[in-house]
Amino acid sequence: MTMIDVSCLKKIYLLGQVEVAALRGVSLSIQKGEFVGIMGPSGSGKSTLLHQLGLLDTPSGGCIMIDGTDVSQLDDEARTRFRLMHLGYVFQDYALVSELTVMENVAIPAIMQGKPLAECYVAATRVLEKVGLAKRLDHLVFELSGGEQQRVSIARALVNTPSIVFADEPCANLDTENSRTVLELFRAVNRELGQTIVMVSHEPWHTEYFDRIIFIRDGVMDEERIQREGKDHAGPIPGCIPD
Amino acid sequence: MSDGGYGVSIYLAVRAIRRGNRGTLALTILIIALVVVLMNFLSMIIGGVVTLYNQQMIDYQYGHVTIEPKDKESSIAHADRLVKELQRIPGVTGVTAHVSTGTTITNTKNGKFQTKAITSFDPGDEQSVTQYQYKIIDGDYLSRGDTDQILIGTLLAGSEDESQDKMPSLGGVKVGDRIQVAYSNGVVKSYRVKGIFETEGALIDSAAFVTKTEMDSIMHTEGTATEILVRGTSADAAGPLKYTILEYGVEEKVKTWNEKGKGILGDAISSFSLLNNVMTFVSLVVASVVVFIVTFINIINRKKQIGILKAIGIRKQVIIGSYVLQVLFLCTCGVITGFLILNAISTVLTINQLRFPMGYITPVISYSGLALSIVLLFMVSVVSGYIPARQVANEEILDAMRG
Repeated sequence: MTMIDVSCLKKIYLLGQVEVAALRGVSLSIQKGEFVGIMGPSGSGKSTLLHQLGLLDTPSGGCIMIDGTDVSQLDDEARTRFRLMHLGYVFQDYALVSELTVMENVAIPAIMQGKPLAECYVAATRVLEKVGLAKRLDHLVFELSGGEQQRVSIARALVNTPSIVFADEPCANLDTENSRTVLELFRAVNRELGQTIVMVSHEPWHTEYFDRIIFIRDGVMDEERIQREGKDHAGPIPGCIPD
Repeated sequence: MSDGGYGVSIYLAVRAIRRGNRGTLALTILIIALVVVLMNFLSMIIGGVVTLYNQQMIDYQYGHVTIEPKDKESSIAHADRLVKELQRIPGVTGVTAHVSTGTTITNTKNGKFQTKAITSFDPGDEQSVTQYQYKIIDGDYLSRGDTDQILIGTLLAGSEDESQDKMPSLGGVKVGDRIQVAYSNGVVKSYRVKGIFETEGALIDSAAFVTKTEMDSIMHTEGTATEILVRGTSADAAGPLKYTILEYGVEEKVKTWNEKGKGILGDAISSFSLLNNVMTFVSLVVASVVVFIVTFINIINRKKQIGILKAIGIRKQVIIGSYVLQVLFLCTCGVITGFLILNAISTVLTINQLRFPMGYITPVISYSGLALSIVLLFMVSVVSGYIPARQVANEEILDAMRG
C-alpha cells in the first residue's frame, strides 16, 4: 500500500534575484511500513525533499499524495492539522521545548489533539518507556545528554502514532554509540509497529538499517546510483521530465 | 474547536512563566507596577488637594449652600427673616448670615496695616455652619455679646520676624493685643484680639471676624446680609438642598459650594488634570514599549521554539495565545503590585502629610481613574504582546526553526 506518492516535485528558492532549483522534478513513492533513507551529497536537496514531504515547506510545483490525501492542495491551517494528526518529526538538533519537561515535550502533540491530559501523559509515559527514558519523565531537557534528547524527540514523534515519521539527519549531532541506539530504535519501531519512516542521512553505515535508499543528486533522483546500489523499487513516474 | 486549542496556550504559558527567567519576570512586573503608580500618583495628589479644598470651602467659606444678593443688589434685605425661614427647611442643619465690609486693620504696636474685608456673624448661628470654633489655637471664640473683640486668622496675625510670614501680615499680633480697624464709612475702632484661629488654608487664615452686633452698630447693617451660608446633611446632598431652597421661594441667588468654588481652584485643577493626562499618556507609551520589548526579546529568543511548535502541529493562534496569556499574567501581577505600591505611598503620605497652600493634604486614590488606567494598560499590553508574537508566528516554519 502506497503511503507517499510524489510526482514532479520542484522547489525553487529565490536568493536575491537568482533562482536556485533545490528540487528539479522528483517523483517517487514510498510504501506503508517502509524504512526509507534519503541520501546524497551536501546540497543535493535531500533535506529539501524531506521538508516538502513533511509539509514543513511549500513546493514550487508537483504533487504530493500522503495516505490518499493530496496535501499539495491543503491551506496553511489544514497542513498544520495534517502534520499534527498524521506526521511525526525528528530533527537533527532534537528541537525540544526547553521550558517543558521530558514528559510534557512528548505529550504536547497529544494534548494539541484535544485528548484528556491524563490520557496524554499515559501515552507519553508509555512511549518514553519504549525509548528507555522512563526514569527521566520529570527532567527538563537541558538535564539530558544529546542521545537522550534525541530519544525524547523520537518519543514525541511517535506519541500520536503517526502515519509517517520524518527524521532529518537525527544522528548528525550524536556519537556512533548514540547514533546506533537511535537507529536501533527506529528499526525496532519500524519492525514492531510497522511504522513508515523516512530519514535523511549522509552516513554510509546507516544504510544497513534502511529497507530502501533514495539517492538525490543536484535536486533530482540519482538513478544511476540507485541502479548500482540496487535498493530502489520506484523509478520516475512516466510523463515527468526532470529539469 | 476540535483540538486542544487555547487549553494548549494556557499549558504552554503556565510552563513558560514557571520555568522562564525569574529576573526578567520580576523586572517586567516591577516596571508595569511603576507605570501603574506613575499613572495614578499625580491624580492621587490632585484628589487630595481637591478633597481638602472642598472640605475647607464647606467648613469655612460657603457651607453646603450659599445665598447671595440678587443681581444689581449689594446685600440681602430681610436677612433675619430669610435665616428663620431657611432654618425650617427639611435637611437644613444650620444657617448663618454674614456681613462683609472693606476695612484697613492696623497693628497699633508696630504700625503695620493690611487692607482686609472683615466679616461679621452671629457666633451661635456660625457654629452650626462653620468649624472655626474648633480651630482656635490661642484665646477664645467670639461670644454673642462681644462688641470690642475681634477674631483673626494666624496668617493675618503674622510673626514679629517678617521672614516667617507666608503672607503680608500685621507683624505678630497676639491674643490680648489691640488692633485698630478703619471701616469704609470712616469709623475707626480699636479691638482686643480675642482669639487666633488656624485652619491651614491660606485664604481662610488671613480673615478677620467680629460679631453681627458689632458690625450692625458700626455699619448699620441690621436685618441685612452680604451672604447667607446654609449647612445640610452632606456635601453630596448640596445639589438637592439647593433646589429645595429654591422651591421654598427664595428669590436670591442660591449656589452650592461646588458652584461657588469651581472658579477659584477650577483652573488649577484643569491644569493639573492636563498634566495628569500627559503623564498617563507617557506612562502608557512607556508601558507599551516595555511590554513590546520584553515580549519581542522573549519571542526572538524563542523563535526556534515557535518554529518547532508549528512544525509538530501546534496552530499559530495557539502559540500567539500563549504569549498573550504571558503578557496578561505579567500585566495582572504588575497591576496588583502597582496597586499595593500606590496604597503604600498613600499610607506613607497620609502619615507624613504633604503641605500645600491650603493645608496638609491626605492623598485620595481615585478608583474610577485607577480602573480606567488598568483597562488602558491591559489593552496596550495585550496589543504590544500580540504584535511581535503574531509577527514571528507568521514566519515560515523552516525560517523560524533556523532561529
